Amino acid sequence: MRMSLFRRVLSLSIALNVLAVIGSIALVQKKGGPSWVRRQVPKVLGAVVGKQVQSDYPNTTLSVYEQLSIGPEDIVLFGDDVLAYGGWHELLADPHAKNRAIARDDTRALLGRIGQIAGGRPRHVVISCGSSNIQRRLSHAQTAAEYARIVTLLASRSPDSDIWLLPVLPVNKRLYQRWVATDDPSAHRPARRDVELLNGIIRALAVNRPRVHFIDLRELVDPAGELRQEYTLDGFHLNGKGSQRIAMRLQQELRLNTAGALK
Amino acid sequence: MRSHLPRILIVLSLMLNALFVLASVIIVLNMGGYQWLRREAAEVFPALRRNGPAADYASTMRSLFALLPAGPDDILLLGDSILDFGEWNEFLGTPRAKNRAINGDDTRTILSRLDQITRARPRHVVLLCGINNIQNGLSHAQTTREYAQIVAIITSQSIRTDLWELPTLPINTRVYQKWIVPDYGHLHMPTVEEVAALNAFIRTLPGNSSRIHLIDLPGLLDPAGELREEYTLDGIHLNGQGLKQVAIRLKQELPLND
Repeated sequence: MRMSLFRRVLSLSIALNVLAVIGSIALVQKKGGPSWVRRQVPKVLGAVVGKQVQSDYPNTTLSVYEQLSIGPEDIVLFGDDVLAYGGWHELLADPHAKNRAIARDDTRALLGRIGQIAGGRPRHVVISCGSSNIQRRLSHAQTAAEYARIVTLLASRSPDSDIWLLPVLPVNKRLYQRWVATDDPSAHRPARRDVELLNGIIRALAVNRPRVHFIDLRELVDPAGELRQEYTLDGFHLNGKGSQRIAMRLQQELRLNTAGALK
Repeated sequence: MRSHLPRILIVLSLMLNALFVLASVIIVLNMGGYQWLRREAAEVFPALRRNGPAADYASTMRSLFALLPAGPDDILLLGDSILDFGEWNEFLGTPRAKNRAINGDDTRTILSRLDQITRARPRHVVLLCGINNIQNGLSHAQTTREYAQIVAIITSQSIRTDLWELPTLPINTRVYQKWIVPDYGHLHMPTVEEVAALNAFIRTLPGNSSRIHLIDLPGLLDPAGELREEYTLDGIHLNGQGLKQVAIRLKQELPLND
């Protein structure tokens, strides 16, 4: 009796193992074989060690910006995902608007390419940065120091530029969980507290600097402190309507000629 | 001795069971928990699929394009990631140049958003696509059928538009293998022959039409027919220098001063 219970458990256990092995193999085959596994490893491990999956996009975008020039009449959109979706000369109805944003750039990345911006002595620089710092779990102290350095360097190398700081936008938690978290599990979801802390730091950078301005984007945030659902599809990136809201604020604040403005 | 064997076996087997369960739980939690599981399950069981399009880069770009004004003076650049990387208003020196390319698009996804293009009745449309069809393993027959449909729809629904076809660019195999294959091993690596076959078809499309034009880009290719290494960082996308070469050819061919 004892032996037969033993045997039953043993055969069940072995059967489960065989099933698990077959299931894993079938899953891997369906997903694309060994190369799929190779690609998944950094994703799974990345969530543990906080590393990003390698990407060629930033370098190619940078090589594009290196071919283009900036002049004293220009409005430069300098920053991360919020600005990188582009269309700014269309959104602002101004041919001087130039996109120099790169998705996923953090403060260190902006610091690394600040010469490209400051060298052109543009009329306006609009900055959006900080979300990637939070997603990469960089300390507030480091982010604050690097952000301050961006503003100081720009202001000293391009003294005639007006610098417009945009806040870090909060995420829409529900949509973010559904879309962004599943695509990039290694990224830390920006919590409301992180975002508000960072925005306090950014806002303070405009104090006592007459050419540095902070534009709050309260209209994009709902009463619960989340990114309004109507302005995003994935809970993190702005959709067309969201970008349009920012464009409208910039037109007001920068006092752009809005003759050809948006509907 | 004989009585120990089952014991060892059962302990080992149960440990393996536990290991499988533990590994599954860790993987699921790391990949995004319930939401991830649900999305993966939906790929296998269509009944679980949520309604509406995915919230990805393409749908976000479409939501932007839906709002951006475009009209009869404009030059719309329609295509995939190759054109998507370009700041075309700057490269072509005119605010009439507007980027309508989306990273990852193939002929099917371009077809599905073509009304956003034809609705504007633009002066020019510059078209560059096809490499994603090859990378996604779509058949030559399907690709050429859909490419021809794109051309037919633009020329019939926007009769004042001049359509400029750029050839599908080949890859640089060496650089592609180094940069694209490790991250996107599931993609089919386009061969020079596959790209040449598609381009041979694209070249036939102007026919007798005075509105459909071909622009060749011989300067971007090396003697072996591959994308020149100096014009790409990852083997498939054009870098700034490569896009500038495209811009130079567009400025030579398009009557930008009409």
